[in-house]
Amino acid sequence: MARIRPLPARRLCQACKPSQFKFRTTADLEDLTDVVGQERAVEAIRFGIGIQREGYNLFALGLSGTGKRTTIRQFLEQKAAGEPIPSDWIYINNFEQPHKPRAIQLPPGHGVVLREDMEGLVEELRTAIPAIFESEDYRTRRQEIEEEFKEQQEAAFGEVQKKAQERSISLIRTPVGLAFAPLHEGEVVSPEDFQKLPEKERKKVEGEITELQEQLQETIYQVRQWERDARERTKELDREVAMFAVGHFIDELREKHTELPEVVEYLTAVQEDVIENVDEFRKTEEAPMMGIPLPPSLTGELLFRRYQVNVIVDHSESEGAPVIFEEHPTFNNLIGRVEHIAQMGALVTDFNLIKPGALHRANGGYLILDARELLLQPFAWDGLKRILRSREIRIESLGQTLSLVSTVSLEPDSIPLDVKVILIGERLLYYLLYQYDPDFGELFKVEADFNQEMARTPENHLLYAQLIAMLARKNALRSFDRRAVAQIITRSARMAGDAEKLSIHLLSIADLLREADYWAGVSGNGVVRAHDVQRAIDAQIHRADRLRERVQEQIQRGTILIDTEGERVGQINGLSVLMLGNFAFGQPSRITARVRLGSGKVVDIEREVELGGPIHSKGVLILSSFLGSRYAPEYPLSLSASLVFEQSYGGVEGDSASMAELCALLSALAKVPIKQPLAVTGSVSQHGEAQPIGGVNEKIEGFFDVCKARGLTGDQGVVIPASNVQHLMLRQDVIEAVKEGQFSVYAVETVDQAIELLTGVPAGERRKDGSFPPGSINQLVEARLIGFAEKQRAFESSSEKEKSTGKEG
Amino acid sequence: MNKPNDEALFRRILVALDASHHSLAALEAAVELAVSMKAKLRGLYVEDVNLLRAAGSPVTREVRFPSVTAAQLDSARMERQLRAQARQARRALAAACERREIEWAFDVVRGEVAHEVMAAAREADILILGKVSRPLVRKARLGSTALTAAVQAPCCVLLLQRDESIRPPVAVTYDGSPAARKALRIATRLAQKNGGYLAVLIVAETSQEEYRLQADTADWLRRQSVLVHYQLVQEKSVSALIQVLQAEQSGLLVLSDTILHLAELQKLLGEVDWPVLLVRAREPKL
Repeated sequence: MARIRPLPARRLCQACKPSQFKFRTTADLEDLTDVVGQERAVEAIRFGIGIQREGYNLFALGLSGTGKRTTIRQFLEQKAAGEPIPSDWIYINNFEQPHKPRAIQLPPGHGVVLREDMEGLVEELRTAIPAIFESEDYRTRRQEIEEEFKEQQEAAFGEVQKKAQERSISLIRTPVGLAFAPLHEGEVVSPEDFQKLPEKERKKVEGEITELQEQLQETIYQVRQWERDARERTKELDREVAMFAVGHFIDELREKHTELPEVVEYLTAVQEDVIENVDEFRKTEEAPMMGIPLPPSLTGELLFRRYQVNVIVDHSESEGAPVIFEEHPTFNNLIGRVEHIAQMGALVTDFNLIKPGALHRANGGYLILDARELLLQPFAWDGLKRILRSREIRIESLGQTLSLVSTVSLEPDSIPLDVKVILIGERLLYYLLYQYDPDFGELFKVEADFNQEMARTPENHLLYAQLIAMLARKNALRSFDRRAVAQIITRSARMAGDAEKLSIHLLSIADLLREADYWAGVSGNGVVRAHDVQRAIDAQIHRADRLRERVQEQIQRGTILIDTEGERVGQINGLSVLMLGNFAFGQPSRITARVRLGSGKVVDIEREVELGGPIHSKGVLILSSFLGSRYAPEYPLSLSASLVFEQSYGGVEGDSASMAELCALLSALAKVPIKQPLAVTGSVSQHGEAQPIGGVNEKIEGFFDVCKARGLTGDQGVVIPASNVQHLMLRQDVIEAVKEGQFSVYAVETVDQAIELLTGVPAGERRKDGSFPPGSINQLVEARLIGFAEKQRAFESSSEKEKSTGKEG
Repeated sequence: MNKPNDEALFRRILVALDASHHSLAALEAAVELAVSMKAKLRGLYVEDVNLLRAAGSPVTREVRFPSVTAAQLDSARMERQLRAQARQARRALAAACERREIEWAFDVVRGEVAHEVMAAAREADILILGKVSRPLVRKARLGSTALTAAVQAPCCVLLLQRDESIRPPVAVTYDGSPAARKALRIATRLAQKNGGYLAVLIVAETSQEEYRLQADTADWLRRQSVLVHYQLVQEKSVSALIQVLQAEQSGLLVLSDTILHLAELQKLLGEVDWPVLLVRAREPKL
């Protein structure tokens, strides 16, 4: 087998070369016209916005900070600007059923006009109506009616009275009515005197009284009828006068809004209502109710509220279709609400208290919502779905819907809805909603999936530079020179953890730009230079790496035992990655293996104590399978091995240590020591192939830091799977050390290559006769395993013999 | 006019009560006057003997309100109803007087109403009563008792109708007669209690006369701390008087009995809404 050579320094980091750029600073670059690296999402957005079908709402999914919101806004605003301005909507009083306010659709900008017209009308009527009712003409006509009634009344009673007088009978007022009594010389005849009268006389008087009494009753009825007539005529007069006062103003408005039949109809209803309630306009001063002075808002003004116009959607100043982003998508903020006013301790409401929601404002355009915010608000998601399905906005208070409160409330007309909703959220939310909400797929048919990485090509490098230029301008930062841009691109590849990818996590990039600009400012640079960027990166790391430093310190002080010199049997340096917030760092761990005769089991101590996760256990089981199938397949696997992550007190997850574990096990079996200056990472297949792992850069750097602190010897290095080489974006100091031959990175394809590197002993390939070359690792391992198996067999047969002799004896 | 005017003008006030709205207005005015004059207030309810007679008569029929049903009158019921009215009147009087801490008395007498009221008025300095009681026609102006009082009462008479009260400004007629002097004194006193503004209506046919009468009062009025405004009434007629009073927006008219003849007085009382206080110089011959 060919000897594995360390990777040359140039393969350890694909740094972006400043020389490929022609510009001097980003000030020379133009803004990007397209969204960089999001072809799929952009296409989906274009499609989603373009298609005018039910249910084609959008869900923009992806990591937060990938520019979803900005991209969508940008697209929508472009698109919306060229679209027609939607209608205004107003709520007006329903004079027949005040609890069901009517909604009217008006051409854009018309709502406010009508509102002002109505305000003007009420104002006019409040002066015109009292004026006309105070006019001499009106008063004369009214007095005429009253006088006529009075005359009729007086004449009628006068007649009765006269008739009574003629017959010497007096009409007297009793405490509860009227009575007729016979009169003699101006005084009522006493009963005794009356009795003295002759029978005939008495009868006559009695008859006359009965007759008078009947006439009086008739007269009273008649007078009451006249009174009613007079009232009716007064009312008729009022109506006539009011009609005269109102008609003129209303006609003017009807003329103005003649092309809007609904408005004309409404104005006619207003006219009827004003005439019906003309007395309200005639009250010039507010009389306190039951002696209790009321706040002004609740008395006179309240009566005129019913002629107001509640403009719920006003597009008088809009240009194009609306694009609304609702930051706080509560149920009420989305679909609107009906507010109440406390009046004498009771809650009252009217159509003027209907308040629009984001859906009203976005009607005819676009509504952007944050999916997480939406789902966090009680009932908001359900409410939104219901409205999207029914395609009309019906305002219902939550309290009413849930029958929690029963104050007086309204049932406003629903308003037809035509809106495209764009939800923005994490991928997890999208997939969960898709899985668990049957309506979701129906209502949000378009997914715009935002990448967080893009391919790294020379063309993309230039696009990326343009992106940097654009972000710098947008954030009002200094320009970045060529080298700084190259540095940022290199950093971006490292953030993506891949030499062939660039991160388009715009949030982190913008942060880096802002911080680099800050440092440029600190050093007094007019443009941001590469070392400002480096300083920003270093500072970011430094702010986050307290724990990394602590781990390194513990290794240096020997609290965490890591050997970087010498050779040990069954002991190896594995590498793990710790992720804290958005900062990851590598840490070497000592892995040890012990073997003895046993029942063929590899014990993963981590798993036994439940510190190892399922993927880790899987890796260990693959090891046993590898051992069993590769070595002495005809023999039972008669070893008992144990593997342990030394000094690991937290959990271990992932299979990236499985190659290290296998090498430790092989070393223990072959009794060949492993070189401690080396560390290993990589997972392994059942056939012994090295497989790629994540965080390769952090792992190498983690071990490098330990070695560097102790002094680089030139023997030290890290063994990685060959398939991870494409991910290498190592730190500059690592690359320098490699260049000087003080540190090495080896790429291996199989576990055999790894064990050879680690022990310096050839692994050995199976020869034609089926055996491994003597002295090779594989031969030593197989011999050991066969030895175990034979011992096991001998042990079993002797114990069986003992059993049988025991039986015989 | 040089008599000092410190004596109380009214010590004994008589108010005729019949529990109607008009009589309640009279009661209210009486209480106000009693408070400002520190006078004793006497309420009088007259059980109308005509009613009782009518009730006893076998032929009398009553038409009751508001149902307009006819029924036989009966004495016992009439007695009860009169007693109830008397109680109501007494309650109203007692409540008003006790609230304002006025010395009061209440009497119920039986007889012919006007006659009994006139009799009681002999022991009073002022008689206060409603212009009407319970009129059949809504806008009736002057009842028979009020008319009798206006003509025959031996003392001053204050006539009110429902919803009216003594309120400023006070207007007084002056023609130089003793009754007019007394009226001026009373009006001044009332003006002091009611806003401090007094309209003096000089009744004179010539400007010379007017000048004389004005000079006659000016000296005395200057010392009374009231704001005086003179107006001329050129003829002793109702229309002339009403015209001036309307211009003054008068709240109470103090009228000496020398100004108008009986028929004119009756006409005036029938036409004006505001309260009228009739002042007599001496007791009329009955």
